[in-house]
Amino acid sequence: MTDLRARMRIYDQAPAPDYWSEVETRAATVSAAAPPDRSARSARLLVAVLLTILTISAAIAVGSGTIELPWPVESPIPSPSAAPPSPSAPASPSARPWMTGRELMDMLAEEFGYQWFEVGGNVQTLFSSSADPGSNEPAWIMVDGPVDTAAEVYVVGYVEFAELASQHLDRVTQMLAPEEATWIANALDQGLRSEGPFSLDTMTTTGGYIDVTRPNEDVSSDVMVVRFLPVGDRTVVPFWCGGVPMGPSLEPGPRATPDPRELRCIAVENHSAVDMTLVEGDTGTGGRIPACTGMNQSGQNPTGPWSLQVGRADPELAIEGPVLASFDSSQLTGDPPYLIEVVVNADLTATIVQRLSLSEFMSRNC
Amino acid sequence: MAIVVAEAKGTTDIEAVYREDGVRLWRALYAYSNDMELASDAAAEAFAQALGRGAAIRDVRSWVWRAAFRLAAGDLKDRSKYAHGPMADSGTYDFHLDDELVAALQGLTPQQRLVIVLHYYADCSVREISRRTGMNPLAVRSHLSRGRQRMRLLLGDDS
Repeated sequence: MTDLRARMRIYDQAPAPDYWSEVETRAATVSAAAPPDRSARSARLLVAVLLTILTISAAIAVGSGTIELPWPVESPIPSPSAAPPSPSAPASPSARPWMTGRELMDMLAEEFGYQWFEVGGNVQTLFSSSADPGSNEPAWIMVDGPVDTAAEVYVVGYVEFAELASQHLDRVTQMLAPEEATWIANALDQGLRSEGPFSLDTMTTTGGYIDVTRPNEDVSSDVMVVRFLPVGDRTVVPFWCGGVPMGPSLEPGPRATPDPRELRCIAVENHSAVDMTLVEGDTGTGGRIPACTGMNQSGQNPTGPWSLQVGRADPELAIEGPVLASFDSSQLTGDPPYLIEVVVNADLTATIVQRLSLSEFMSRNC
Repeated sequence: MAIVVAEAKGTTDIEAVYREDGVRLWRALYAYSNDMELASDAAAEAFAQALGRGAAIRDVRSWVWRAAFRLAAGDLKDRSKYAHGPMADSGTYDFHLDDELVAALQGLTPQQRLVIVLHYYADCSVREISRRTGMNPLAVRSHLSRGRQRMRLLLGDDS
């Protein structure tokens, strides 16, 4: 495959036309009146545009730096929950170790005859299962690298072949999270019956995280993905946007995170029409929270005491005027990961509170 | 003919994207569809729609790519077969495709072909593909992984 990129360069020789005049002609025509023979396309485009706008709006709200927090900001995958979250307990230290990718691959090979094929990747090697590497089977398992660390596994299937995908899924489930088999089956069933984008996730009692996703977008509506992640070296990112809880998300964190209990997550919403700033600890650094936006970040807890204050932002990102709300590490209760919620209301009142558990966090009624 | 859209907001930006990316977009659409006429139609329509929306589009490049590929995907779905087709105003071109490559691309699912073209021709990362297509990054990774595997076999490349 090393030469695929080079082979694709053949298209650089394709005689591309200069079609700008056609663009202008079409745009002028559209602005005057849509021609009858394009009506179907216009309707389709309208739907596409609406979807695009929705998607772009969400992406802009979440990931385009509308908030410039002073710390690294995770970029969560929007994960709209289509059903209440699982009652599964928040992450806890593993009762048994989450097996490595290599162990999983070996066991699947030994017990079921899976063959594994390296399919490369942008950063790390990815392995894909197949009885026949050249076939276009409609369901498969992917094991992300590095495979000598806790397994990160995707079971992927086209929805019309859900039964075949279920066979793969059952095998992976039995090896990684047998206690979640019922939850997975129910989530899969919901996903297959969903008419729109679907995502449901849970944390396992054995130190893992599972999500079931059906993107259901224009070009990928036929795929369902069940992802198994080791929560121990992941960052839990409670995600919401615009007051709507979208479900927790897990993003790659430092692989070497020594202790997942050190994770701290902060979610911020500013419902007011005024730009705010969130100031951390004694550093005096501030993160701007533009009006009517929301953002979250996560990372390791700082060592030693720390604090947060929120208030109206001045040009230097310091707090101008009164501190609207504050919080410090002495107020923390319970076990980590700590979930901190910062809300600035429309009337310029604000709260910073600790959410004691992920399930409580998720049950927050916005 | 009066070009109404010349006065629309954002026209300059959109034309700048066209000048920078128009050819590459067209070629990517051609690689995806194996149909020059379809590539021309989808690309022109996407830019025209962008002109109509003007400043309402914040990321013109991503918007146009996404709209163009959605249009192309829709047209491909409407057509029951893929075929080489001359452009309406085409002359004779001294251009010959790598038939083996074309056959391999056509052996992919539309989703796999889309992400393979964007990754290996347009040099887009998974994140960029997600932005340009609207696909969930998970789906992008899945299709890319499977597409690679399939291409490897179809091209007889075991490296």
